[in-house]
Amino acid sequence: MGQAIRLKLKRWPGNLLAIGLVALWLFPIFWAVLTSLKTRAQQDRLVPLFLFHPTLDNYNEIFTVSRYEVAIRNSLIISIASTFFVMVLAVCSGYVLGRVRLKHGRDIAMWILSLRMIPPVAVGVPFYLLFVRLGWIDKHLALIAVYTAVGVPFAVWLVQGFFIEIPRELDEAATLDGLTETETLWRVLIPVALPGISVAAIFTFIFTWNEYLLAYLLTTSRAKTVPLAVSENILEYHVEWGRIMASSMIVILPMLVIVFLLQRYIVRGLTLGAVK
Amino acid sequence: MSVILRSLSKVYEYGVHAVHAVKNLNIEVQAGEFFTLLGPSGCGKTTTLRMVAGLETPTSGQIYLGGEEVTEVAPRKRDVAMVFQSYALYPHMTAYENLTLNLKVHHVPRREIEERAAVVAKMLGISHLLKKKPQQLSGGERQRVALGRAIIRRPKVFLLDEPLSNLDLKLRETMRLELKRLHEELKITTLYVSHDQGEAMVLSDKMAVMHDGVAEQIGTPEEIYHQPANIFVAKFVGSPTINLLRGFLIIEAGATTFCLARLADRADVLARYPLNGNTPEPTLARACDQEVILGVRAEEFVVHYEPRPGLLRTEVDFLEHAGSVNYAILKLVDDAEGKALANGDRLIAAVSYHERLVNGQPLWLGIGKQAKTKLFAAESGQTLQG
Repeated sequence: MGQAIRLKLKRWPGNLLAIGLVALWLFPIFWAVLTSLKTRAQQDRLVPLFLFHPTLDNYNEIFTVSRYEVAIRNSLIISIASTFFVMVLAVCSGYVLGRVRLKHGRDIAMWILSLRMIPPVAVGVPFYLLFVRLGWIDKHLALIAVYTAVGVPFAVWLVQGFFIEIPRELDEAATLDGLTETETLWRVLIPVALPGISVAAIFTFIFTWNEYLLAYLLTTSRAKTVPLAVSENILEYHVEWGRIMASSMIVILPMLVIVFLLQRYIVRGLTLGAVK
Repeated sequence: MSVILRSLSKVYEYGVHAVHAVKNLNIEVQAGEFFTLLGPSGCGKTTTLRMVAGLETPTSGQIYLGGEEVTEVAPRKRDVAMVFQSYALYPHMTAYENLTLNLKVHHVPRREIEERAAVVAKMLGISHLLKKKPQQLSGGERQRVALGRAIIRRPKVFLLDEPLSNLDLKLRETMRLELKRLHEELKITTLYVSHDQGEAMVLSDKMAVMHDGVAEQIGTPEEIYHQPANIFVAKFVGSPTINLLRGFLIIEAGATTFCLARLADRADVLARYPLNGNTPEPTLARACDQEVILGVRAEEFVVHYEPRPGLLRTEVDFLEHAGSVNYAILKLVDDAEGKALANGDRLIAAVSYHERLVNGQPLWLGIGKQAKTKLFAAESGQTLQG
């Protein structure tokens, strides 16, 4: 018992350092929470204010004054839809590129990966012109289409990598068990690659959720996404910090919950390739 | 359900470079037989097994299962079950689900699936593990689940690809007996691949010793052990490795003697061993002007502590205490040119563990009367007997 305490005490410099770093990292979030609960007057103080009487005014305003709920709804629709389409395409492509011996399989995979190197801004204007013609500007469809196109290369690359890792013998065992190729994909390969597929899905979702540039170019008012809505609080002469923080808090919360629940899978997916 | 391989070949083309993994193999396995493909790594045994499973397509030749040709039939339709060396269990499914997936896919009614699973689990002693996933099981347990997955289907043929090689020695010995017992109970035709000759000898009804894609000899374990068709088979089967002595034959007064001698000078003979007449006379006569190799297994030597005429003089290099039997590793003192032994530079003789031997002690080797010595032509490596 005494020995255990002695060991823990020995590590206190390390522990202190760890606590310090975590505090440093979490401080902005903490500050954002505080700011979201302050009035404008309280925010503008020269000397930062830590103890004060909190108010929910900011939270109130973003829904009444700027209709934040519309942005949230748009972001959800767009992110979920694009992630869905990206994953369907990525799983199919990843399977074929990762396990079926195509004559130019490697070339195709390389080409798909190279698409990832295109900066979204390069396609922003062409897409804008295209969508004006199609009448898709400020409609969900525009962003869903663009995000799918932009998100597929990375997702394919990730999923393909996971499919490649699966030993061939699993396919062989499945075929001897009587499964057709499709059944093998559904019942064996996808479940086994699920950690990787989940990671790809999560990354795609996060990307589409946070994306600003293309959303800015391709929407005006009705299909606004969350990043746009939040940035609208930066007015000409003045920044509505309270509202920005409140908007962020609303959005962070579900993300926190999801990541907290799925963290085991995320970590597994990220580290799966590292150790054999 | 018999398995017949006719003129089976498999060639892998790599651009200009071609690998002949299997060359013109002809094998017949009777229904219910336990047949082993034995050989060193790269001899083509696994490729052959995979061709029988349908996982590889033969370059030429035919495969018949139960009389029907299946050379072009997809693996799913062949009704064969395979146990892989790495088990290939589905990692995301429990042991129970692993066992029963194939039944589910074939739309077997749920009640029957549960019954069969219970029977098989009991047979293999894994009933308490059914809810676990493969990662939670030990190597031996995983292997039994893999076996169960094959058994539960009641296939026409079992294909086992070195299923015991990933297990530690004790477990391997236990599972070996398990396999034998299962085979006796189920009587399903089994094709087994191994590089472990001891394992093959214990388990098989018949075996094929393969080398470089060719079946060097096909026969029962006894036949292969006592009547190897060539030097390769003689060296591969039998532990410790067979002793090979280089020499020539002399026929005088109706008796043939094998003489171990320094090659350059046939006059200087190191030892004379009369042969026990396994080989027909004409063959012996023809072999008199060739170099000949005599194969003697470690247990066939008789050890003498006193000099005897005509026996090979050796010296103990060191001793191996292998538990029940001891082995004396012997070197030839008179063989200055080192040409008398065709296999390495030491002889191995089995000695009873009662005999106290010391390093450096001289011993004279005789060959036991019951020994089934083997004669090979030195040039071709082929047996001169029978």
